[in-house]
Amino acid sequence: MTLWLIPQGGNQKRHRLIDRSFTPCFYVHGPEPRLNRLRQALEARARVTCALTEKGNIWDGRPLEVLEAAVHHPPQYQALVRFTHRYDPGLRLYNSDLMLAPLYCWEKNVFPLAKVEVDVGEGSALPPSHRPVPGSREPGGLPYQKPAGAGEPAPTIRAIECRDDEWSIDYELPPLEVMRVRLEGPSQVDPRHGRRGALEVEVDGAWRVLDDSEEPAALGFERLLRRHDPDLIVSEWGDSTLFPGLLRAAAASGGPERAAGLELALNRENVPVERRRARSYTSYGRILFKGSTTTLFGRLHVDVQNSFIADQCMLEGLWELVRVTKLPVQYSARTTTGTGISYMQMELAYRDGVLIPEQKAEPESPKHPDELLAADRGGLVFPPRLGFFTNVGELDFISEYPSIMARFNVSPETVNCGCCPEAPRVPELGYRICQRRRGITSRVVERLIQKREQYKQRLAEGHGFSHAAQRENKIVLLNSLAPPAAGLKPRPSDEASSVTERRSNYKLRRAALKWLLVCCFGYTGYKNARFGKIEAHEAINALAREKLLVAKETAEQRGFRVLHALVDSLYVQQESARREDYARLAREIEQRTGLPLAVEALYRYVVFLPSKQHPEVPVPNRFFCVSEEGELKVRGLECRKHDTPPLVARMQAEALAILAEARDLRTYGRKLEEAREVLERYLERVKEGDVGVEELVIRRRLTRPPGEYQKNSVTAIAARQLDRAGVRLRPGETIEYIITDADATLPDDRARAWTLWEGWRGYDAEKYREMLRDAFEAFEHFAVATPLLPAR
Amino acid sequence: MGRTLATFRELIEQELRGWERVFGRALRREERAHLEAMFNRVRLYTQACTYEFPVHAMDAINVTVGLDHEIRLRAIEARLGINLDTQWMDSRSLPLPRRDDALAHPAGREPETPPAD
Repeated sequence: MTLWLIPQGGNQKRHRLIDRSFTPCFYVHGPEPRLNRLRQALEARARVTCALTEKGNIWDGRPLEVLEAAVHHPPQYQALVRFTHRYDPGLRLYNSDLMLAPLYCWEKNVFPLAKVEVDVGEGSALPPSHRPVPGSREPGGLPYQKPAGAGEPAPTIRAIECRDDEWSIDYELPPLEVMRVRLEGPSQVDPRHGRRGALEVEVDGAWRVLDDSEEPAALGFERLLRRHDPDLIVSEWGDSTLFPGLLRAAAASGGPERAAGLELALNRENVPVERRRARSYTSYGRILFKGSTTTLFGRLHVDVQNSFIADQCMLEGLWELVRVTKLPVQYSARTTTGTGISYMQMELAYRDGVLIPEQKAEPESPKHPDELLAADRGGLVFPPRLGFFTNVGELDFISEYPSIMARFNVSPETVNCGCCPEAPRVPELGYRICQRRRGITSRVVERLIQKREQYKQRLAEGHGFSHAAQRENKIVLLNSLAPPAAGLKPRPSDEASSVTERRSNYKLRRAALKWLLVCCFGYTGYKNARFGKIEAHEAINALAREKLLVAKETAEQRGFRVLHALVDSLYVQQESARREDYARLAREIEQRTGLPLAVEALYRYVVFLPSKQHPEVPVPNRFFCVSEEGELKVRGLECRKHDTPPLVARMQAEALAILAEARDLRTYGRKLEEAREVLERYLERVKEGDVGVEELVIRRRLTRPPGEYQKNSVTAIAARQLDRAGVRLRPGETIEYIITDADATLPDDRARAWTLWEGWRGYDAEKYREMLRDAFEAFEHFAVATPLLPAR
Repeated sequence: MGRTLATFRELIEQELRGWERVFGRALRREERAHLEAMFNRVRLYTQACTYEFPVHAMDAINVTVGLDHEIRLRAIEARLGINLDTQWMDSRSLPLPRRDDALAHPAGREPETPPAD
């Protein structure tokens, strides 16, 4: 196992160390004579130490006799597992498909980015079999200084001791040397779709533009890379376009005298850069696209355009995730948070001495159709009462589903266990929950909830609703409403006080942990989840329904009216109620349900909007409201949707900022007059042709390959244009286009892919004006009068 | 939810399509519009239907349609300041059928049931 370390203090030298003491084990269960035969076969093939031992079974907790195979050369681990499968397919394998890097972390009690103390022995040349294997190269996640040849001696680790705690909330990150790389121009557009521009590189806060005017950009980049030798490269589209392009350009730049071309030292180690192919896949009924990846050895590469967590929670969130899940940084950045949760569960199982089954779910228990009807349901959603409401309180169960798992011990192995026939039953379903063993999932979420809560407390300490905090909230909100700015996401500026920065970091880390918790529930019902069992998923849902109904009943008993309830949150109203009344109600619900609940906000007003197709049908998640502090909350409006042109989103955000100053229906009417002026201004700009084309871009996800679209929708037209231009598009990819003439007879004239758009094509002013008016319509809905509500 | 079984929102949609195909075909155009409106009103109570989840979705839809009418009727009463309950509790016997029943209200003869308000 190769580790990369940054020494503490001023020394900038990076160390590459080898740990030869790591012997990953897999386990095999089956009849003893067959295990003995396998043992002989394994020991004859490679350096493996086998022994019969007893380990716990995850599902019933009973000990299971297994053959333990300790592999002395970790790179042979996967090959030996494959061999075992082939050798005797009837045997059952455990701990056999784990990534080696987290396994190393569990064994040595370390984690990526941790502070460690290492006892280093003599250096020795690496035999070829000890070259790092993909995915097992960076438990420390940190690189060293100079590119090293594969055979270069590297010091070995005699002992490694962790001087850090992944559950600590005040930790110090290693002093990473960071380089940022991007292509000039609008960052959201995939360069593979024809976006052209010079390479922009940032080191130490200064951006440099590398175009091909004086020398090939690859050459300039190579020089910067050598001079600054970054530990971390943060790129935009580095995975699929920039790095593959730079490598190709470098190889071709040698000219006749250098047949091999220039060697671009993206890796710190002299091995080829690892590339993985792009793929399209379906999740929750949607086709999604995962771009190809380029990962490095000896330094880290995070592509913010190909990383869910870096996109949602920036790098701070990624560091938090890496520390608690112990997955390698580059892998974590590119995978779903579900994998992180799986590995956390597996770590607990490993520490308990429980066997980890192969990637395969426990089959669903047979059910009678009536039972299926009762069980196969999600959370309860009370459609909102339509209209304009003042003095509304929002009560939220804090991390409700994880709290249920933690509080009621719901985990795949504890639902309907064999050991507790008399255990209390889950409402509606009658499932039993184990009373003897604490579930693995419950323990994982418990720790995560605790850490999130600590961050929350830290955020609350000395930061009441001061004016500064209000201003900060408002700024954050406007940023999130405004169209995404070109370039990397904003980071706290240098002038910002360290307090603000720390607060923002805590928030990002909390958000990252929230994503882990969200996945944790979903994974109990995921067909490929190792620790998944659909009955656990159903039990959690049933408990959540029960708790929401108890909350509703309590609110009604206390004279509140339930306007809307959405799985784990309630919008309740009582004309005369004050903050303390809402707080009292929250405490009472908390007592009755046993789950933590908080008054999320008090709203001056809430506007619940109807479905766009049926004006009298309410839909959940289409509303906007303004809190007592003046903070806006918007759901389901155009400014929250990805496919809205930035111009429309900005108009709506500006109008909302004005409406946020209203306190009741009367002042709302007045503010609406002002907001209408905003709309008029935008309409005028569009009519005059005074709008930059980048403000009119519509982004849509492709649901099929361009050739398979049956109808001439604008998305299909733009996709076909790109396809004709030679861009290879796959389902799930996002494309950008401008509507040029929505009513044109020739379909091709109706829209134009953005990267192919030329000035003379212009845009369809009337269509964009219509979009602006549509987006404003939401504000007019209940401005005149609230609808007649049934008397209760 | 949505994994094996359709959600109740989907069931309302399915039932509406089913009833529109045959039942709706034999309705007059002006009546047909109300059929969809009636089913759309059921969406206001999806949470209760989901919680109940009967084997036949129409059982819950029927109850919901009745409940919605009840609620709206009470709202109209409140708006008009009337109470139809007192009318329903009227113990007077119903009028006997007559030969000229086909005529709604022949001139000069008032209906014997009391007016609505």
